[in-house]
Amino acid sequence: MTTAYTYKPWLVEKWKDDWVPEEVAIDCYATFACRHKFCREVCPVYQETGNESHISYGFHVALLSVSRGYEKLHNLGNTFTYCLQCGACQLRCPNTLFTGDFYRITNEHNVLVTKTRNELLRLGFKFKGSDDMLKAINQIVKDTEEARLSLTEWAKDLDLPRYGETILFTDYFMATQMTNILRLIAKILKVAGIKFGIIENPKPTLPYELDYLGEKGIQYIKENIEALKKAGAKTVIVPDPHVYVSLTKEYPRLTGSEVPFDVVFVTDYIWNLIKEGKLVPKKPVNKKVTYHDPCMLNKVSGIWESPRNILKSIPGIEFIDEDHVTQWYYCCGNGASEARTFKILHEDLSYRIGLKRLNRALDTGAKTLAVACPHCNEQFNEVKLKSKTEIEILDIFEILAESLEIR
Amino acid sequence: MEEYIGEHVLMRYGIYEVNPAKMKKWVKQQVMSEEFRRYIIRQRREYLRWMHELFAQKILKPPIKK
Repeated sequence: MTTAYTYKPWLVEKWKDDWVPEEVAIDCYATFACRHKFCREVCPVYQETGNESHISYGFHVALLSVSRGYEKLHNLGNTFTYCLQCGACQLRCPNTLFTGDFYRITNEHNVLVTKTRNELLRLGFKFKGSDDMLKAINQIVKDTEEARLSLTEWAKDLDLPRYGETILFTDYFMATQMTNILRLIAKILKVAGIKFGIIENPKPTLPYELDYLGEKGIQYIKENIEALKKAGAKTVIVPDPHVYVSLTKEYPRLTGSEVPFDVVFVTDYIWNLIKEGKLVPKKPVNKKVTYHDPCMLNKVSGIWESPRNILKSIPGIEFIDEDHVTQWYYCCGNGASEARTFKILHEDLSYRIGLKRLNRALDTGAKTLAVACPHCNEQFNEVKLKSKTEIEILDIFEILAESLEIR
Repeated sequence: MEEYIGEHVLMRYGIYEVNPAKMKKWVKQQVMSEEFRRYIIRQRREYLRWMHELFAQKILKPPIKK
């Protein structure tokens, strides 16, 4: 079981314009009292804006000022839009993460940002881009409800059953917009002799955004879990890091219980197959490659070894590694949102963060940037097109499939 | 898993910890899975490893008394 989550009951409480629960205020005070601001150096947004109110420290101080009566929540709304929810700050900070000593508490920054945005919306206060953000999320809900998205079309000629102990699970995003990658993953699993199925109508998983949907969000969780149980799933292979975070962290946070099956990220699963000799990459792929760690994998889930191992196992590749801790400082600019929330709120900032990452990849001397996340893939391709940067963006499984001679 | 190695110090999963019960009076402690704890500890060690690789060019030996 890969589940790792924390749960703070006081985050469920309803806030007011001039009041937040005292327990939240204590967390905020602890951060305010720190002043080392390690969260500042690692924040991809701060590196671009240079504004301290855009870092985790700034958010906590803003909420502390509300709790102490110096400011009203609605005046601080825009501040909370400047967060990619990449998870770097809570990973870097040795103080807000009090675990390991006798406090036994930890601040989950991403959850706090979602909670604050959600409370602002609940209280009827708009912030910059909030209408567009909700519109994007509601569009996904509408498309799903009206079954306008054909979520199994990508697998129509692959002869995959709708049941099995092993299920390849993804939501609308990959099933409609990254079908080529999804098909390659399915074909690679088939070549390794894995018997697996898919489910008919997966609901959106939307990490850190299901809160905005209220009861409907919880309903989606229940429907997804029920569908997977009904299909007989014991192991769920997830090819999208955002969906992985949903299943392993968000579902337990929102429902209070762990999911009743093992959730494995696809790179971990396929690296095991390579280790066991069920997959042997033979054809050399002559490329100079560096790898981008997706925030949801590296920072939020702590998965960074298996994608590197897969790349290293492919013959012909000159792999230029950038340490995964160095990559805490990077983000593609899309952030945690599946509904492109940050891109909608701050289009230019998102572009600049993405461009910076591409330039850092070029600095290593690599010609190809390998990714393991469909959202990073989409964002980098957009930035590449807009900036005319000469770098090849490839998914890890496109490279692996070439070596395995799968098309 | 928990072993007291002093009056107020215990060891869990190889990590020293001041007895958390002492802080309960002041800070509301939260439900936290052991896996999450281990994830944080692992990342902290990774960060220290990274810092060491970046900034420590050599390790000084302690002075030897003649």
